[in-house]
Amino acid sequence: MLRAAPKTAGEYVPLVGLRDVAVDYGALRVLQPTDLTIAEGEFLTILGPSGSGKTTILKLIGGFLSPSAGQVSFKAADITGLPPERRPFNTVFQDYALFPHMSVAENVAYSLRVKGASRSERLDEARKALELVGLAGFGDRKVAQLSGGQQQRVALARAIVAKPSLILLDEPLSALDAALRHQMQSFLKSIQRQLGTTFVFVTHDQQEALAMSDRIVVMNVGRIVQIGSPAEIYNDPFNAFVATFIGRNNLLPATPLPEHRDRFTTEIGVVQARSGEAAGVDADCQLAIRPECISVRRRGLELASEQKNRIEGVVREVAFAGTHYGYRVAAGARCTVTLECSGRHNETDGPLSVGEDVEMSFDPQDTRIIRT
Amino acid sequence: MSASRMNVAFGAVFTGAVMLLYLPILTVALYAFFPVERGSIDLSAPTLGYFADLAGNVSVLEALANSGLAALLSSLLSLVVATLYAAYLREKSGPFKVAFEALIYAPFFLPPIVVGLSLLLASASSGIPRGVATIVLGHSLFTLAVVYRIISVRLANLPPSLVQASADLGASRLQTIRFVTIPHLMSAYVAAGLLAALLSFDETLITALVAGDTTTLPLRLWAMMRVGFSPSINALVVVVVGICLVLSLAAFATLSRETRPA
Repeated sequence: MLRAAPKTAGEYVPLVGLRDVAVDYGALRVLQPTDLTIAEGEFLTILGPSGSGKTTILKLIGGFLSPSAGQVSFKAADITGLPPERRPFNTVFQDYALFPHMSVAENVAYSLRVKGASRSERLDEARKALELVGLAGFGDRKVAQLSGGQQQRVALARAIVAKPSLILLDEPLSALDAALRHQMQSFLKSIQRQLGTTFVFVTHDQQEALAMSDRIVVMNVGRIVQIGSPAEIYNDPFNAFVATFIGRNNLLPATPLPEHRDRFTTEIGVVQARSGEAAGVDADCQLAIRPECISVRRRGLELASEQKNRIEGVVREVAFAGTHYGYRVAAGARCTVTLECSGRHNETDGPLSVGEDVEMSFDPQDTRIIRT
Repeated sequence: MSASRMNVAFGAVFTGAVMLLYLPILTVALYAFFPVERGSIDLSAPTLGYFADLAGNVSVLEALANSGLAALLSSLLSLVVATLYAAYLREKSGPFKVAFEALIYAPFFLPPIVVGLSLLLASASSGIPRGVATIVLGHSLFTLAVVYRIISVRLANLPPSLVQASADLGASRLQTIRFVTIPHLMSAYVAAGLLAALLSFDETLITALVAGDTTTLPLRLWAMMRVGFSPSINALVVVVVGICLVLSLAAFATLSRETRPA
């Protein structure tokens, strides 16, 4: 049942495609016409807030929902009208949807049973799948006897036992506590690598998406906003929504200075952006600076390194977050800047406190221009 | 009044009510196991003789067989019809569903004499001879309310994701019904079937009107009591109460296991 993962990095074989697919509920269009291609062997995450249409896409692929327009394809075949039972995809449901009247092994072997596999084959495959998900010896248990994390693993074993071409995961980690969620993230990722099966993972948790995915599809109000690798999405957000939904960001309304190509006037003064970024920007826009890209020091201390963007401010809030301190600093007339200082590498000579006068600085390279 | 006095008062009322209800039955049961000499009970000579008399009474045995057959067939018929109704009405809503369900529940709440007379007229005008068949139809009609209620509630509790998961894993609609829906309904079937059998077993009034020449155990008991009291009547009461007790305990045990949160 183990399938090797011969895919080399960069090899891109389309497996499932959505072409101009739209979904209406009555007069309400919940999914705008959408194109999406899922490559064989990739871990693709569909990320968005609730109501963004991410679960709608999952249901379209799984066959639980028919599109109002457009086409769903598998390899070269049109599967738009095909019911779920005839698609070579399996789903891990948000509530796991394990059959309560069956044992763990019977649950896992369900897809083999409906195909008419013999009892010994079923038991054998179920045992192998349970071993793979780390539940060897749990086959005879009742589902109700398992913890949430174990039920999650059974749901995964049930989905992989029939060797589907693609596995759909509908926010499977949302019911788990934080520690278990982290553990399951790396576990899911390692299973996916081991099997080489395509995973389509739906979540509203940006941290989960960044940690697990080969590619992320960011959605908002029924549209795909951006598709890219986690690093691309994080470092080059397409618009203000992506910039603030994935990780945190300071967004400054900005107006380009006509005579300086990379310089902008903002509420906190003139800011220099990454050179080359500003080409073609001649209207008002926003500048995005990540909290961890801003360094801070007590006013009056010597600068450790000369940086171009320097802003004075007053500390308004201090929050200790274990790995770092989070500060909210008032700057300019109405602007509050959020920034993070790791405990070890800060330049502040000890944590700041509320009311202190500080000077912040950031590298132009870390300043992104968001077109509005 | 203090809380403890309240408890004592409630306890007294509860005990009184239970005694009032069950003492007569206990007395009858007592009389079934001990001989009565000149109006007083002889506790020194317990006997199963009255039950032996019953076992030798062909008409009582025949009535028992009829009652059992009617209970079995009417509860099975109820289960099948209630399942079809529940499956059909599951997707429906609005006034149509309310009206349909009212029709299902009505025979249970209408006076039995009305239901019995209607069935009598129906069997007369349709030419169906009165007997076990009409008893089974009559009993199904009013047990359907209880059976439908239990099954439809259980069916409504079937998580849609289980049906989706089954389809997702490759099961056809029939396979989903066989492997997921029916196992989900099984405990409801057991509880509803036992309750229906119980209701059928001790039903008297409707039965009396549609039975024709056929006799069931309650009808036989009724007939014996009209002739005059005999010790075997006490024994027969014990048999009827015993069967009802077992059926109802089994039904409620299944129901309470079923409704316990997972």
